[in-house]
Amino acid sequence: MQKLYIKIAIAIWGVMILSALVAIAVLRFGPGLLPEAAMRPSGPVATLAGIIEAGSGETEGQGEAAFIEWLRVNPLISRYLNLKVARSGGEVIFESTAGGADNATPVTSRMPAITITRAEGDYEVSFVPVFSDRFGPATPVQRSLARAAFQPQLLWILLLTAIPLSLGLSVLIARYLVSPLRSFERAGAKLAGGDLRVRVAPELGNRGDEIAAFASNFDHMAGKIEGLVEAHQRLLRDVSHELRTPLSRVLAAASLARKAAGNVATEEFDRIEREVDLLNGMIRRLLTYAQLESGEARLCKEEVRLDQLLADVVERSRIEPAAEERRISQHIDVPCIVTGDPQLLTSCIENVLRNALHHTPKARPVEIRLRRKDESCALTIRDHGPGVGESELEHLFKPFYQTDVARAPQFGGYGIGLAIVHKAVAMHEGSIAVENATGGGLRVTIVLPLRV
Amino acid sequence: MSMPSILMIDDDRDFCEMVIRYLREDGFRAAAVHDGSDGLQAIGARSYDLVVLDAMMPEMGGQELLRHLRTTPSPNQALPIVMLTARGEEVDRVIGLETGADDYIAKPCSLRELSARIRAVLRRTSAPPEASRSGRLMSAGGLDLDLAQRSATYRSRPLNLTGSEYAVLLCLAQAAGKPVTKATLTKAALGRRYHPTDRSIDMHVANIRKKLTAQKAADVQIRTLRGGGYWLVASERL
Repeated sequence: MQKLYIKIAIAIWGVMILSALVAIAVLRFGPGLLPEAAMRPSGPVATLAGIIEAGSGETEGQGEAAFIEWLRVNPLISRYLNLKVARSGGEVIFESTAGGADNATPVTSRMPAITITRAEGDYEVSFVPVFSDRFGPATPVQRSLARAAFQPQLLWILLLTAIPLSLGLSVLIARYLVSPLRSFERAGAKLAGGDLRVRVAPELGNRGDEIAAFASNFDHMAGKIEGLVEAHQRLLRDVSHELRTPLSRVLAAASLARKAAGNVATEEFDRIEREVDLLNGMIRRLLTYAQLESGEARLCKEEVRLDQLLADVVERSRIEPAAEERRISQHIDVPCIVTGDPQLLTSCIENVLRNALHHTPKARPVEIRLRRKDESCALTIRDHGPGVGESELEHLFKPFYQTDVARAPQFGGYGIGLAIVHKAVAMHEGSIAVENATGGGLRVTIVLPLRV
Repeated sequence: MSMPSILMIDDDRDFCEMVIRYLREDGFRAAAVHDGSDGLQAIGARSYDLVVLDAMMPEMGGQELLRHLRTTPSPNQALPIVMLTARGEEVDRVIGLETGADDYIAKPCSLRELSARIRAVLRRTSAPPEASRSGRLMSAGGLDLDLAQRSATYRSRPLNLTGSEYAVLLCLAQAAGKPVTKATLTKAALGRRYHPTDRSIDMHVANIRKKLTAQKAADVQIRTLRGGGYWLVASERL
């Protein structure tokens, strides 16, 4: 399909032809529409006026009749002009038509007039050249050119109509040819942003050219991507379901066993529930991470009270066994409203807090601060654990990164939590920083822009 | 309610067996079926006080059954339903509540928690009438709440609210036009604690609004409070 270049060629050619036609139309019909004042004594009008004035000069002092006679016999006038002479009072004293007046049509419908001053008084002489078959047929082009010569203003009219018209037409044509590109641009952006159902072809109508072929390929590609992503999501859901089924059963069995055991082994049953919860959390985090990584996760963009979210996470973590003997000291200064996904933000805070609780010794608290700073809010979570080697700080956000085991043997890794936090914070247009705090321990600072 | 009767609908048979055993030991009567169509049949055949429904069943999934039950006029239309969902799968949870579950609990959960949630929903959806204290009817605009029947009508036409929806509406009506926070609503209507990512109250309010609109109840509105909360606005009774 090579139709696009044909379309472009025809378009350009069409514009040119149309411009020519407009030119001819203006020259043919324009003169009748021009006001009388548009006929200024310049060009051919000036020349003809000059001839008449010369005639008046030649018959100077010879009286009115001599002047009229001069006009009557002058070859140029008698052959090519319709003439009318009137005295200043308006009385017409002489009229003639060019060369016998068979099939003679004036070039324009208005007769320019000049005033001739003579000793006898002022005379108004009007004149207009004619087209006449007697002198051979004039082609339309010749006629148009004659008109244009006689009324130069026509050329201005031509410019003023033809230029905007051809410009407008060219713009429309260009838009028709190029607007699909905008459709592609929009569709591409939507696709990248996660809307996998977007398609281009329906928007473009029935073009049948190279752009249509491209659109069809684009849609095919989009369809494939949608299919792949759907399959991937289904897989994740299935895996998550598969893993959770035995977990549900374990908890159910443990619940029954706990009941049967009465007061015996309550700690062990608590332990079982705890570990199942941990496992469940890991599954959830793996799912979240996979979704974030593949760009499937669609973020909510709601108003979130970060301070409330934080307070709630802290509250819930106090009940969690990991926090049983650890203290959390929190300073939450002011309400902070951010735009984002409450689920994901809760996840982030939980992940960072969990790590802090893991690493901080029993005697020292985990310190949490939420502060407002200009147009953002800063959340700091600091533990008093062993911290992390300077060289390893930047690697913490890699999934399942194992820090130097010698430093913290029982909690070698940071799991996938921080990788999720890193990704999620970036998606919220915030930033995250980790550093070793003075006095020991790791300090994690998350900065998020406040909702405008 | 002396021994409430619970129907468990979940495709995991082993899990169901354990749940039934636990619930029976906990003072319930309990039975289980393993797919949606069996579930509908069972609901129609016997009278249950509450259904625990798994959201993730193959074939007739939990949501489908729920939708069918809530939109088909029947004596079981407002049957209290607790949905079992996978934790963190927001979409499942929200869809379940959108089609009219009363509350949800995430799997895996300890059976102690499940039992407690069942009791909470039962308490809220079939509580003894408050008629003795404040009369049988409560009105706001064209809206009438029958405290004994725990049902709501608009200009005598039934709104067909679920138990939880009724509980939320009652709470809002009792606040007499003052805003109620989501935390208070969750405690009063669902009998449990609220956490910031919980959309249950939002969904219940959305469903109530839909049902009010279906009855063209222009003089009764639930307004949203910025920052989390709702209040009921009703113009004077004509």
